[in-house]
Amino acid sequence: MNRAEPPIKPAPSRLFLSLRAAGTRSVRASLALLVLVSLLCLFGPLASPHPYDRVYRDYVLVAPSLAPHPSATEIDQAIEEIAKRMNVAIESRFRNGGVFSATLVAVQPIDLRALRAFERSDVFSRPRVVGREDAGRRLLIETPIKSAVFLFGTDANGRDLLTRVLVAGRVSLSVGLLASFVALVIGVTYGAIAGYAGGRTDALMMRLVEIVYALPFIFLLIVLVMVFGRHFALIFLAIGAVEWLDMARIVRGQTLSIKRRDYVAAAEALGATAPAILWRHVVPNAAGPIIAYLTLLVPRVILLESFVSFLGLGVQEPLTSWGVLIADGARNIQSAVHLLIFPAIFLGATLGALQNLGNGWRAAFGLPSH
Amino acid sequence: MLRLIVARLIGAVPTLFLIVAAAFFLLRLAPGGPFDAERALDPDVAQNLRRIYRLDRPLAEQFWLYLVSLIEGDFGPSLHWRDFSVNELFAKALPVSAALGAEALLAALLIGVALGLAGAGRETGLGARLVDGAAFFGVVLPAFVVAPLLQLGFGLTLHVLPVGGWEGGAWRNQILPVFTLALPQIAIVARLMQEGLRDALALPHIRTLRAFGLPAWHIQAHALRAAVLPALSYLGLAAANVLTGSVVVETIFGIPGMGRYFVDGALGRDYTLVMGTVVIVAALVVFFNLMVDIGYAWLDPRVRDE
Amino acid sequence: MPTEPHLSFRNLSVAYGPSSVVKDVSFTVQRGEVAAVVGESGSGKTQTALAILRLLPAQATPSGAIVFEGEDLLALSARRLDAIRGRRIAFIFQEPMSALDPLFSVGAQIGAILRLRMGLSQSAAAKRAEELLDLVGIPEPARRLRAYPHELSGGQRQRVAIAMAISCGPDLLIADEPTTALDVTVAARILELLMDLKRRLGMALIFISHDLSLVRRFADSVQVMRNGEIVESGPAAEILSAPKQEYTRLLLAAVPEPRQARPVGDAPIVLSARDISMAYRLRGGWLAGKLEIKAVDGVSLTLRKGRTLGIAGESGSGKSTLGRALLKLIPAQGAIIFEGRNLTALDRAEMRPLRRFMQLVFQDPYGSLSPRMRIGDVVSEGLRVHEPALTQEERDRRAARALEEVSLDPDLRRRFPHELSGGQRQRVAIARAMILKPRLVVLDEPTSALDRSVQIEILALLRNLQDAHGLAYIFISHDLAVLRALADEIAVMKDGRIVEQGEARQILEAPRDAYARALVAAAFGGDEV
Repeated sequence: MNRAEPPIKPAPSRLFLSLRAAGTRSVRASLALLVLVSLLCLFGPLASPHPYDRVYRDYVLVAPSLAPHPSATEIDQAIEEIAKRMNVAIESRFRNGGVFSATLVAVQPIDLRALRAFERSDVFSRPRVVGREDAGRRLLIETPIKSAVFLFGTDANGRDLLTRVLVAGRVSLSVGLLASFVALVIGVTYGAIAGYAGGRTDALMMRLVEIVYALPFIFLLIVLVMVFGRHFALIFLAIGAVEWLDMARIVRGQTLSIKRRDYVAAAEALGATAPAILWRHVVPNAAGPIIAYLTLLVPRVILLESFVSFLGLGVQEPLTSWGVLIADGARNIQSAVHLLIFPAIFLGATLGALQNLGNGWRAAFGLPSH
Repeated sequence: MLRLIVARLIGAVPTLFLIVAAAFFLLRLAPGGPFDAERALDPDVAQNLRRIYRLDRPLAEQFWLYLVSLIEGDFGPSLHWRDFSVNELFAKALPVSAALGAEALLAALLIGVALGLAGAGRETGLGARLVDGAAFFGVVLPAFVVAPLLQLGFGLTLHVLPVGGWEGGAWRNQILPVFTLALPQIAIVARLMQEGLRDALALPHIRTLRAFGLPAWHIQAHALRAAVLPALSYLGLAAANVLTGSVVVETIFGIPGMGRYFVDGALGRDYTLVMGTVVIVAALVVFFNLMVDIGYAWLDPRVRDE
Repeated sequence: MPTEPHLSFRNLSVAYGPSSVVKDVSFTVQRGEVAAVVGESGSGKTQTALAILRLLPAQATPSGAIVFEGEDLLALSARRLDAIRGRRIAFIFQEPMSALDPLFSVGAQIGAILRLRMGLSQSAAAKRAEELLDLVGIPEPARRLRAYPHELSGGQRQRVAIAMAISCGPDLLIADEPTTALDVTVAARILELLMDLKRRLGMALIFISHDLSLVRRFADSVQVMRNGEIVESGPAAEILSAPKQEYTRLLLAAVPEPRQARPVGDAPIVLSARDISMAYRLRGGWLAGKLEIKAVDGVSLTLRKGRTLGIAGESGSGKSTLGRALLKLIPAQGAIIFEGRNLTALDRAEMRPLRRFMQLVFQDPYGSLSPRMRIGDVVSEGLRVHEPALTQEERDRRAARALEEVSLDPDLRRRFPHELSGGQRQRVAIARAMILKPRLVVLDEPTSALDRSVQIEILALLRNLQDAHGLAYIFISHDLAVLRALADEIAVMKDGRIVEQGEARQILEAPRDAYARALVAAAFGGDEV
């Protein structure tokens, strides 16, 4: 029948392209990295032996290492610390695997209640009195050594950095997702209304966006944080409230161009209602670009949160985020580089992977980069 | 052209007004006042302070008074540094921040454009890889990570540059902050230039030039003019980003500029100081966008006729 | 040697990766002749033309040889090639808007060629550029030199492109569909100019076109291309009078058959419209006043059951706006009476139940189907609105039947639009309108985006559907040859007004209005109608 027609050319559909983009190696690697980071942040703290806010007074600013603590010098330091507090001298000390034994001597008989100093230490557990001589002036005690691994080391307060980085990741990632969601909801609603209404409404709404654009986001954000306080929910609401502008513009542009398409005119000619047209034609055809920009929005939001937290205007102790940790690292750059390096690696990897993913999507939809 | 400039200038007035109004009323919504820090303040003293700073007047009147003094060029007294007016603080801080920002912007433009042009060639060439690398680090390493690393590397380890401080703008003190501030912008400008030139070289009218056997430099000149446009329109945003970045850079390097006053003001609920910063920043951004519009109209006749 | 060919293609192939878009093309162009390369879209004719001056995109790899005066252009060094480009062989592109640099004035662009290729001084180049603009028929050439491309009309832009092409006095001009993007009356004048220049300057011309009937007026030799290959090649007179290949015959016959005149009879009036006007209001700047553009200006018409009213006009004449205004898809002034019912005062909701009886088919079959919907859903969308009680299965069955009615495989229901050819998509768009059993269909350039051979099939389909269901058509087209195939009456529109209206045969054979005459002359040339 259609013999004279040119052969069917498979015009690349956008869906097809986006799937293909998702299949490229770097995009797949980014996706894998993101999943890994998310799972680590989600479940890592549960598996970690150290609560994120537990302070180990004996392990302040410990360097990252695979080897378990305490080391021989840490044991010496700890026992000397305890001896000082108990006001006793150490006659002999001996470590046998996981068990530490020592002979304590004092001028007066040693009060057994003072042995609680061992329990308060991060190195030893409850001691057992093996021998008592000289009317209690010589105590032979035995205590198991607590073993702890600080893979990423500890911070200036003696808290495990690994757990803190993962918990911070929860905050950073959830702020990223929630704030992006807020921006998505505001932006899509605002943009779709402006684009579909068109005319004067559109001009007025977009003029407002332009005005807000003229204000650097960070300054507005900091003012908002100042106003509403530093509560977690308020931070992502505030970030969402400043980051919806791009989304609104994109959605408006998409709506405007889709509105002019013949398939929308055809639907109008068929008598379809405005909500039906928005739902059946505008939204599905704008979804690709919206998702592409959303993936680029998430890293921006995470960066913004880190930035605000870095300045001390973000989440408050003991809650933490990557920005807070990096600020901490920057303050201790002289004594402990690991405090900066580890959170920076997590933040950088997440930002890079998200950006890569977003760029892949964006290229798939043939959208400009700025 | 003149009409365009005048129209844009007139258009900037309501923009600035709305920004000032928004910031003013938002700040006044904030729970807690500037004198909360001294908790045990005597009620009479607090009342007095409020009267001196006219915080006891109705909000609309305060806004009106603020607008009037703003038009007179007076940002009011600082509520945090009680002995200084905001103008006095800015007189010291603005030149520092302006030098920092201008140098960073210039560096970003020069290096970014050069990099972008070098990178527009083959996708596997050295230039293209440099652009890719810059783009990668621009994203992965935010300023607040780069800055401490630079301090560690050049200051604490190599001892070639100071870790911080301004020293009245000694060049050794400027290198690290300017570089930190410029780095993300270099990445973006380079990428824009690279993509712009690649896109421009694929334009049909460039093919026309080739069809007439015109020399390569002539074709490049035509492509470049088209390629500059996207980078130019980014300039407004770049200025805003540099202003934003200077907040972090000034904090980390201990530079007495606007950004630090802004953060300190925000933490100390210094209304007038924060307002002053917002006004200055908004005015700068509006000014840069105006420059971009004019530059665009100058380069693109289609915009000129709009 | 006068017999030596000016330019000869020897087994030219152009490959993009594994697929070849031009295969083994060989033909020769004699000095001073007009060689036409004719083919439908995707036939490889433009790729062949671009290969001459090595203007193909970087991904393309040409092979074979293109010999120009004894030198193989494909093997020439870049320097030697640049010496030939523009000075010996010049190129005119299809899209005059994008072929010129929007950021430079016309004078700067012509001047650059004259200075850099002809070695003229600044002032000599400016003087010569003015002469060239005058030569290609641009009024006030001195003023136009300072104009930018966006300030010129499409026809003027193409004249500028021609001025650039002849500026170095080339021996050979390659024109790639130079008139396709232009309105017919403008295209006719551009063609006239080209032929005139060719005679006066003694150039050879390679003319690329999709339109064999256009080429027949001036070509000395013709090569017919299809799927990257030359299917027939030879002197124009021979090929056009006695084509050997079936495909050539198809292309030649590819002017749709005129419709036989049918008696008006007393069929009921489906649609009548009185004094329809529609104005766009352009908002100027703050200070500028409001500007009103009348897209449709006082149009009245009547349409009876089973008949077709053709609306002819060039771009910007308001014919599409009129079509949508008649269906009340855009607000307009004037009275519209559909099957005796006055629609004028009805609002959107009141119009909705009537929509199923009045449908619309669009020009661009790529844009009129939502890329995210399956064909079955596209076709049955109207049923969702007008028969919401239908089950999914019943809708699907009805969609299958609608597809069969437009001679498509019902299994296409599961496919997406991008998997279909242009002709198939247009059938889908027609099926979408027909599923509601409408009584009035507005056809807005339904065949303009299709190749001629496909056009004929779609026109036949539309005619069959009309006969079967007694449909009334309003058929909007800029193409009089297509209108002739379907219209009983024709209204010619210009600047929003109907300048002439009457029976199709009378309009096409003896137009009274000057503009209608120009339109008919441009469409059919010297051919009898």
